[in-house]
Amino acid sequence: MMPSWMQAAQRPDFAPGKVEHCIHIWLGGGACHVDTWDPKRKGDPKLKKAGSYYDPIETSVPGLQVCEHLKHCAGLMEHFSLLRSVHHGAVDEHAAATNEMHTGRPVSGTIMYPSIGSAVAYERGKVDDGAPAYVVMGYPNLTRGPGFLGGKHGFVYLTSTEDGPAGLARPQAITSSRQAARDRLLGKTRQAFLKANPGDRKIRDYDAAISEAQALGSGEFMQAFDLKSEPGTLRNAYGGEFGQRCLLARRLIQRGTRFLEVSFNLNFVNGTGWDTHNAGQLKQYLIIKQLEQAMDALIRDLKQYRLLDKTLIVVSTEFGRPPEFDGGGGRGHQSQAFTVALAGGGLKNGRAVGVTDEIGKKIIERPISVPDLFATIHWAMGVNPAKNLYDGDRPVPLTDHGKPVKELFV
Amino acid sequence: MIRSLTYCLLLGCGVALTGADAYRQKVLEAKPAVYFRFNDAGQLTSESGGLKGELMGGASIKPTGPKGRYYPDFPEKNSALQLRGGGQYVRIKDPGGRSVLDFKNGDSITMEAWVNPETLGNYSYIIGKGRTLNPGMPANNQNYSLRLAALKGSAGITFLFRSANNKSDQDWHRWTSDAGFNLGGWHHVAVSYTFGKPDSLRGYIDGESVTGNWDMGGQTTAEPWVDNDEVWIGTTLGGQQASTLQGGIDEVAIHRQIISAESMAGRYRFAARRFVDEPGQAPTENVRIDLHEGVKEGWNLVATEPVTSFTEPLFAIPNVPRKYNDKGLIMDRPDVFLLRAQSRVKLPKGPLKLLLRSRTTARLKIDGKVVATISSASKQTSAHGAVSKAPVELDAVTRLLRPGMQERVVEFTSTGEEQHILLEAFVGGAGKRRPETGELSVAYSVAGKPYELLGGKSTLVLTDTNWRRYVIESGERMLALNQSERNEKGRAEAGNWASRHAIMAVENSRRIAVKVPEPLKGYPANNEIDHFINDRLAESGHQILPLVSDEAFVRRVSLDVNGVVPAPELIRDFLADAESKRRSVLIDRLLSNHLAWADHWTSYWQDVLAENPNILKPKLNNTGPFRFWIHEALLDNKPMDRFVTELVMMEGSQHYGGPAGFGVATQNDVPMAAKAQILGQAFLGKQMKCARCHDAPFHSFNQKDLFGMAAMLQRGPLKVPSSSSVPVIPGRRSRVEVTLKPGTAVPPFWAFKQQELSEPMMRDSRSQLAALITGEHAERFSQVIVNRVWKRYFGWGLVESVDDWEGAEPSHPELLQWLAHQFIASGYDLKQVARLILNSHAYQRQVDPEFIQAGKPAERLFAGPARRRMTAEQLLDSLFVVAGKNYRVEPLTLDINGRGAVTTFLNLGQPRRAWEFTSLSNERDRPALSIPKAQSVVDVLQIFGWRDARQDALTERDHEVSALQPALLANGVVGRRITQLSEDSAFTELALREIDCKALIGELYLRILGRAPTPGELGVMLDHVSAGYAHRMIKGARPVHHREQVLDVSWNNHLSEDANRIKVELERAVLAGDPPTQRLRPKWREGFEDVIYALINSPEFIFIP
Repeated sequence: MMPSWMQAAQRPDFAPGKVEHCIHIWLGGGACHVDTWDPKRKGDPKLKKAGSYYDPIETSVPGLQVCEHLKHCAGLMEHFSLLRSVHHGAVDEHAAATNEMHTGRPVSGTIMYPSIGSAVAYERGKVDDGAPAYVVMGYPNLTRGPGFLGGKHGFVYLTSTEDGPAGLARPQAITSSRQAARDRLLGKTRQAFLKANPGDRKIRDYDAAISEAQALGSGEFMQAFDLKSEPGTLRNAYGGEFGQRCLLARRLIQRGTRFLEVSFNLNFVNGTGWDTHNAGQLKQYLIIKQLEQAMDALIRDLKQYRLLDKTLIVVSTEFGRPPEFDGGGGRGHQSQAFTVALAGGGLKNGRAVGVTDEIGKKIIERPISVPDLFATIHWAMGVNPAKNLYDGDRPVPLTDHGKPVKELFV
Repeated sequence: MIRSLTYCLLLGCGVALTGADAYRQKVLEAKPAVYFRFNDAGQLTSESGGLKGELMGGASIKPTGPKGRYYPDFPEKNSALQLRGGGQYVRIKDPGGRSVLDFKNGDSITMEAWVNPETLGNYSYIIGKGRTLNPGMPANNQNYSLRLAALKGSAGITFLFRSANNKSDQDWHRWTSDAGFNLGGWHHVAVSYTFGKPDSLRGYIDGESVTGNWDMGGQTTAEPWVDNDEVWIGTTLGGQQASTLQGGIDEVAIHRQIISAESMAGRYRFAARRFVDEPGQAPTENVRIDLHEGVKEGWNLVATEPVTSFTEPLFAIPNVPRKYNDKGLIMDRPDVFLLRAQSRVKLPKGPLKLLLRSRTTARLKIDGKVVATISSASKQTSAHGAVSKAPVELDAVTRLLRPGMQERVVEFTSTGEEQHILLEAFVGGAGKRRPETGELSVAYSVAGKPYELLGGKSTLVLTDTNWRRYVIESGERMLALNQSERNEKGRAEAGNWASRHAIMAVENSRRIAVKVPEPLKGYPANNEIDHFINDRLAESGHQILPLVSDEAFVRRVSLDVNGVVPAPELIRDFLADAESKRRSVLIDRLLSNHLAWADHWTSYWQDVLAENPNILKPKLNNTGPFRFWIHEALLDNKPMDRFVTELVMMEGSQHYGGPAGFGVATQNDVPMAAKAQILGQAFLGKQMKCARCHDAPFHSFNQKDLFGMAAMLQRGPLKVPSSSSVPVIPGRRSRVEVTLKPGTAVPPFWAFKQQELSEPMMRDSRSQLAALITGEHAERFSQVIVNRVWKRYFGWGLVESVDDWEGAEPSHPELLQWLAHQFIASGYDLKQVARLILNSHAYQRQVDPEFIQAGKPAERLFAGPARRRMTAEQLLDSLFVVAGKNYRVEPLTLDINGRGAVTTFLNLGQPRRAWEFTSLSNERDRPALSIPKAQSVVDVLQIFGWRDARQDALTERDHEVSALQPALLANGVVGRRITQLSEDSAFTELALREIDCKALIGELYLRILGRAPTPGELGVMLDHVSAGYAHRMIKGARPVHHREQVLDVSWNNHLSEDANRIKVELERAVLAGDPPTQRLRPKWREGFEDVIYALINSPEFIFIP
């Protein structure tokens, strides 16, 4: 960590991207790069032989391979950029690494850094008034928060597409006529209080927020959650709950959401989710398949709506996993080399950037730091990664000297 | 000598020396070079050789030494050296030259001592020469040392010295024993060694030889380092807490010869005793519970004296009291202790079933006969376990067994006479398992009827509702018990502070009194505060605002003092008092609600002191949960200088809520720099955030100043790590200056001297720092505190911002000074300052709606308070108070079955008030780790400005208004739980009262908004609920309580598919809120709920009048 804010980092000397939205797919637990985007020679947990767990396959980009369970994505590889040399030095522990991959920095004792979602929401705001700027589909936690930017730049979250966002969706038990009756009664109490306190700006502001909340709860935004209004074939194409989250992401983007964090945390599929220690490894292919089914549908769907070039998809995780196997046939944690996949966003896609060694253990070419990754996202969205945010009067750069991955821009 | 003869026969020993003086004689026989017995604080002289020792940093001699009845070689009354934390030790000066304290190659040494550690750090010093960090002494100059080492769950011994080469870590030579003793009771430890002869090392624990290894630097024939540094007993490295043996040390001796194994064998004599059941001592009216420390889990028990005793009405023990040290601070109990609960009870005559529940090893004895046992808890802690099957249903009613609990059902035939019931259960477990009793209980069932908890006089059917209520009541009993326990233990400490304050009051009276302005006509005043305020108002041609109405006042002051809206009874009592004095009577009434006062202020200090626990694997700049110490300090209304001192000393428990938790900052490479910064802004108004990495560009401090203060906390030099710096680019002018290079070691020093210190630097730099803040800087410290209180009650400070005073002008400098002097004169009594401010006319006036922007001091006239919205905690607590409900969320832990170590998993319990919530720590983003019901409360708290994580200190929260705030209140789970008329809602009880509909609406308004409805409001609401009012009740319907499901999802199985599925289902279930009552017709109930909805969602509810 080098809070080197006083030496103004350089604005990149090449043109920024034109991305309007970002879908940040989060594979919590630490997705194994050598079993997904960075296939290597095959290993064997029984023989304690390091390597991939699955066979590699060719993709639509000659020479670029991925693992066999990503075959739909393989056919769309011209839309992908695989950053295979991402790395960080956070302690190999989920919370600390998750924090690093959301804020772009290790924790500091003096300041709480904003998450990438909050930073983007802060910089670019919402696209349209009808929807919040930053939506999380996953569990609320500190690493996803606004840090020093303040609650206004936080997220709206939901943990299930069926129930909608926590607190915004009208409870199912309350019919619309009952809600109308409630709002009528509330109208009386609101009116009386405003009348008793003329000229009190704080009260007026809060009262206005109530009106805004009512509009948000009944308007265009809430219709985004009505996934049933989409054709059945499309819903099926997206697949299970994770796919439905991706579909919802597309619908929210259409209503003006700027940044979405879509979590793949369906741990009831294999127990461990992406944290494939021990027996978690056995059913890992099931979650890879769910991931890629949804990605396939999302890319095609965004393309259909001409949104793919305006939407950057980031498939991120807190760290990768080592090519070696643990005693239970699964894998431990590895933060010294792993892959973050990008898709869409009008970037120069169809490539891999960075190279790891023959088993995916070490980076041998073009390391990409977490600040570089964050700079790439910001620059793709047209924001100078060297600019300062302010915590009170203290300037804090958007990224710590991150340099966008140039190959993706020129 | 008859007495010693008896012991001799008992122990079957031969001709060995016995009796109260025996141990001393054994040691003196060997003609020790040094022998400290710690029997008289005034006379710390070695029994042989005559060297003098000196008690440092509050180390004390206490009558806690090995007692004759257990250790027959000692007298029954025996004192020992007692150390409770860093900075405390005994110093022995080296007479210089080649003294008896110096050992070189060829010299033989034996060190021996008795120890009774209360907790165990990695290495705790018993005695050592050198390595003191004394000025002028080289680092690492350890000639020899005997220490305790934390082995797995036990205390081993270790011998450490430095060879004369003194260059690299290879020059350390450390021998560590393979085995150790379990904490609890006194133990004898010793090592002997001839320098230069590596094979000569021998270690002894309790008289027996122990094996060990040279596990650092290997063995050596090299010369040891020798110099004239001091010998310290009890700590090293400047007295740092981590090296201090917290607990008792006695009979410390150094010999200049090898003491033989045979002699060593005679050093430890212990008269093991068994517990004797004494039915006659057991009460009949309730259950007496004794806690015994110094035990191993298992039935080969050696009796010890109870460390504490308390009573519960029933054999149901959900809590045990906290342990306190002699400063009244929370401390840790040993990993394992024994609980013995007994009573004489008349069970119904004839056959019955007994139900025993315990987390780990337990047994139930009736009239001396074991009737049921439970074995040791599972040790499986990997996250890959399986979800267990649903618990066995004993019948349709009895509460189901909880995860982490075990149960036994046994048949028993009772005599029908009074019988002696004795429950013995172990609590905690090796490896720092949390000392939780869970649902430890004994119940019985006759003829298939539901189980009833057994008790002295009464019984209680073991239903969910009864158990929950019992747990809450037991919690209240613990609160009172803990308070009396810590007041008892800390009596002398409290006395010290009282005398200090008496001296300060005299000094204060010599200060030049601040002149209070004359009263002004047309400007009403209640006390001196108003004269200062009115003076400025008049001067700037402003009128004052009128007093706020009585009903608005009671709501305002209740929120400000007790943190919640006033209960209807409080309002009625207030209005019944004589008009002339009702406001001041109310203020006193509210201030004397100590618990509510503590609840309301705790969250304030959590923010200001950056209390930041994480309940799972703390890695995010986390502290310990010192919230519990904050709460207790407020409950006891501790003087604020004592509060600061305890914080700075960082003593007590780290994981269970003591101020030691403040000293932690996980993954932070300079925790003490972070703490220095927090203390600076909290108590001196010095904002040193920037100084962490460079000289502050907008302040007058340098990085060195912060690191000097941090080094005082460190009790030694502190290196500036490269992460706490910024690079300097040659040839470029920068706004910030870096005057400290990374790697520079900064010694302890105080940069903010107001005058040359009249006294030399104390030995302990932490005590020094506390004294500087509260003594040397008393004026500033007092002003900062009174300004904090002022800001809380008026919305603006006399000085802004409250935690950065540099360049800030007070709006009313004389008032600030006057208030600060009142504060000092009161003995730093926070409540006294509050009482003064709350009684002022200024505080009691109407809100000044214009008083929103007041950046400049001149704009802060305080014609009335500024408009304030409830804090997140006030809002949540008030919502649950008006609905008469408990939070009833899950316990705040991810290790519900208590298998993990407290270092990995905290359990912050079931919140009673909002301040007790915390980050739910699901950075892993896993369904199985979600805590859905608590999350629903945390969501609301957070959206209203509460912080789940407090990585940095903060006073003023985010006051942004957003649509999500009213939205979440209206649609979220919390809103639903408050609005919906569930069986446990006070609104349900209200609706069931036999009153007319008008009165019902009136009561509802009083409860929620603290006032009567206007005629217009009454009409509208009546329209909505009068239809069907007469027939609202369902005749004969009784409250329905469904038995709670049991979900076994804990860390140990959270990586299973089932665990994740269960939690996803639970999240869905939580959304429904609490099920509605069956006693009211749904149609009418819903209408009434709509009215409640309109009141709690009204802006009127959340603004302070």
